[in-house]
Amino acid sequence: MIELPVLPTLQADGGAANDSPILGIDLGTTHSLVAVYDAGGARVLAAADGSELIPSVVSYPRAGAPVVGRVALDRSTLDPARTIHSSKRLIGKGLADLADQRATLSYPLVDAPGRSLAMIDLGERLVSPAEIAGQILAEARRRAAEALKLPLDQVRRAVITVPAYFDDTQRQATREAAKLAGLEVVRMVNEPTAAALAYDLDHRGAECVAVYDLGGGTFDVSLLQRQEGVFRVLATAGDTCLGGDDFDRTIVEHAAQLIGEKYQVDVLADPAARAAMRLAAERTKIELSSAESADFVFHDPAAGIAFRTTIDWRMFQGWIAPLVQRTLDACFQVLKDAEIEADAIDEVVLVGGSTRVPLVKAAVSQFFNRPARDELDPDKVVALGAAVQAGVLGGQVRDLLLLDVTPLSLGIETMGGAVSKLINRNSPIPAQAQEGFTTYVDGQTAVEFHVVQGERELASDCRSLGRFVLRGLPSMPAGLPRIGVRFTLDADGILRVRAREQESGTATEIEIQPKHGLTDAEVEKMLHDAWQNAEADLSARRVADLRERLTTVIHAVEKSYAKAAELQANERERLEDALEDARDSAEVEDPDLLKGILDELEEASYPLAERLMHQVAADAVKDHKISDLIGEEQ
Amino acid sequence: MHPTPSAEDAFALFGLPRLYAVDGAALEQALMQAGLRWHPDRYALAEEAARLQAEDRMAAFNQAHAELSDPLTRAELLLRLAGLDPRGGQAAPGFLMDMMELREDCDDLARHAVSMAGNEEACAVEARLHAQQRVAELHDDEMQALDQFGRLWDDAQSAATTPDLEVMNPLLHKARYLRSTRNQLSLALRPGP
Repeated sequence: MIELPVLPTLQADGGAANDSPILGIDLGTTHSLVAVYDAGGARVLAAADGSELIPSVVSYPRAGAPVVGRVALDRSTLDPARTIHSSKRLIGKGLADLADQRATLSYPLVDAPGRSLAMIDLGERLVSPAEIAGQILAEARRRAAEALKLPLDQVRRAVITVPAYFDDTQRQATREAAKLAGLEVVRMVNEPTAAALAYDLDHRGAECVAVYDLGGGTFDVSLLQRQEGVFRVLATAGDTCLGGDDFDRTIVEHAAQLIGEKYQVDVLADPAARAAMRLAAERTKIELSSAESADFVFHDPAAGIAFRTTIDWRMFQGWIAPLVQRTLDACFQVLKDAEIEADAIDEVVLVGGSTRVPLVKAAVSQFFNRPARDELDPDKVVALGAAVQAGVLGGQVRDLLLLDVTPLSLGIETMGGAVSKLINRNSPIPAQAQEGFTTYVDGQTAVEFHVVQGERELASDCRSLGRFVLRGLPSMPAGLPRIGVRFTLDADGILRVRAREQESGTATEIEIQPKHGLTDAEVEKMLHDAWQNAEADLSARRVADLRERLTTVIHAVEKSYAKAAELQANERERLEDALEDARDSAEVEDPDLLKGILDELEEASYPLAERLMHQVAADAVKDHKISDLIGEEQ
Repeated sequence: MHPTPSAEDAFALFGLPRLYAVDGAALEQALMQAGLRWHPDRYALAEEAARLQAEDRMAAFNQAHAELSDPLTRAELLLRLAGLDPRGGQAAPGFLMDMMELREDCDDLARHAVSMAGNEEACAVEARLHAQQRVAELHDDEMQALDQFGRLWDDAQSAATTPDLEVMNPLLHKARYLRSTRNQLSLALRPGP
């Protein structure tokens, strides 16, 4: 066991710790947000530049610390194999589960040694999805400290949202990620439930609310009933691998096929091309939310590809219709589970960026037979709700209580591979259940329990959460021992299992081990490192971020410098000056000065970006930065 | 594989009389009150011991609520609390035969509906509707058996007589069979994998 220095306690047990804020963090597939509840109510915290969304992207430069957020996103096509996006979809999954997604992931995945859990292969080491999530949470924590003007060590408690349909493994991994970021999870809240809280603060009254939450990578639908100050979840259903990323993929696959036909190449074989195609598809999708048709553009001069195609909304709707139908199947299921007719729903609320897609909005309204509400920004509503729940837990919000449920049944495998369910799906949490078991062989002194989660009848079709053995049973004829198994599920939806032989008093107990592919020693080491990082000076962090960003832009300009010949003399001069300043900035340690150099370079490169764009399309590019375009231009 | 008796008497926990007939609104109200008093969110910043105790209490209330909300588990609980075996007694003559026939019939319905799935034609829709209708019928029959159990039980209680287990246990057997048949059929009709 590695000796570690004693960490300051993360436990909130009175004293000054209780004055520190509780953050509300929406840890999303494509982006994350951090919010707080204070005198002005729930509000999202912005970075110094006003941006609120933190792209859920972590990039690992070959030298130096990983970068997170916007800086990392900008490295998507520059360093695709080391720039990790959409990692939330990997949490708790094995390679086999992810087969159909690997076409658009730009980084290599492997299974953790000896277990089917996906990890990202950086070459020199493996990174777990929980570690990526930890980096994103650490970024959210830093942002909060900065916005609240607090030292980092006073920001260490959070309410973190997870998809309602997350299973035990995925919840455990999220809790582990928070630990790595130096955050104590005061409560994990289901995303649709959080959204309902955010809506409720402004509009009290509706009795029965359906929340339809389609994000970048996950889908949930929950039914809630409000009675005075109590919000009770009646049922929830969903899919932790269904979201906007899948919409993008339909466009990528279509374009890849056309490119293949035209150029006789498998364009998706190259990670950089995969990253660029994915980003281009995302832009096309967003345009299609407000236009009848949109162009998909992809250039790869090195491979001699200059491709452009127009996609109209009918084609796009056709591709995504089966995905939308899957969400409606879940809506049907949730009504059935709650034993409620669609007409009895008072209100339908749309959450998640993917609900901006017109087909989604229309399908949901039609299904529930009423207009769906979307007046709160679907990107922010979950974070705001997390902040409200933080307010409830911190005692600032007194008239609200949330009673949530577990999304999936929990049970034990019995003889013959069937499942004996102890806790049914949609049971309110915290929950407990007991069941008696016995032996089936004379003289049996040990019993193995296999704990599973899911709705299927056979244990092999459910998710395996863990196995444990009760040893030291007195030798008795089969069927005589009385073994009581007790499940307890806490308010975060995390399971603990105890087994006890009642005659002899033999007992064993486990908390289901997190299955994110890390050993305990690794977790401890990372925790130690994370703590040290957390102590690092915020301005040093900013300098590192700015420097990384500068590198990205310099690279983008250099890559397309051939076009500079077309610039007017004054434009070219300004660009050359800016580029020279940028290249010479290695010694600059002042963040404001670095920011000035970066801004100047970006501005000076606009004319170049316009020229580049002309090659491809006649679109106006006034708002495009050169680093946004390079993905299409390489 | 018998469920052990719950640690607490669910009726007592909610302050309700030990009867099959339960005032649903009162039960819901009592759960809300329990939530306001014991939900761990109320103890988020309390000491760990208090928080864990609250979690235990709330879990007990949730479990008791589930046990009382489902008429089948409620009926079984009544027998257990009276020191009787809810799975004891003889099945009525011919009962098993009837249930096996029912199960086969439902299997056929499910197979038919599933094999037609994806087919746009009217007969596919009809097959599915037919199966769904059978699910509803199974539910009604189960409730009928349980309500009959409940009437007998509650009447015996108010008359302070011993309920006739020869009549009552077969009703529970029947309800259990009907439920597992219904679950099987619903599962087969579920969309997706």
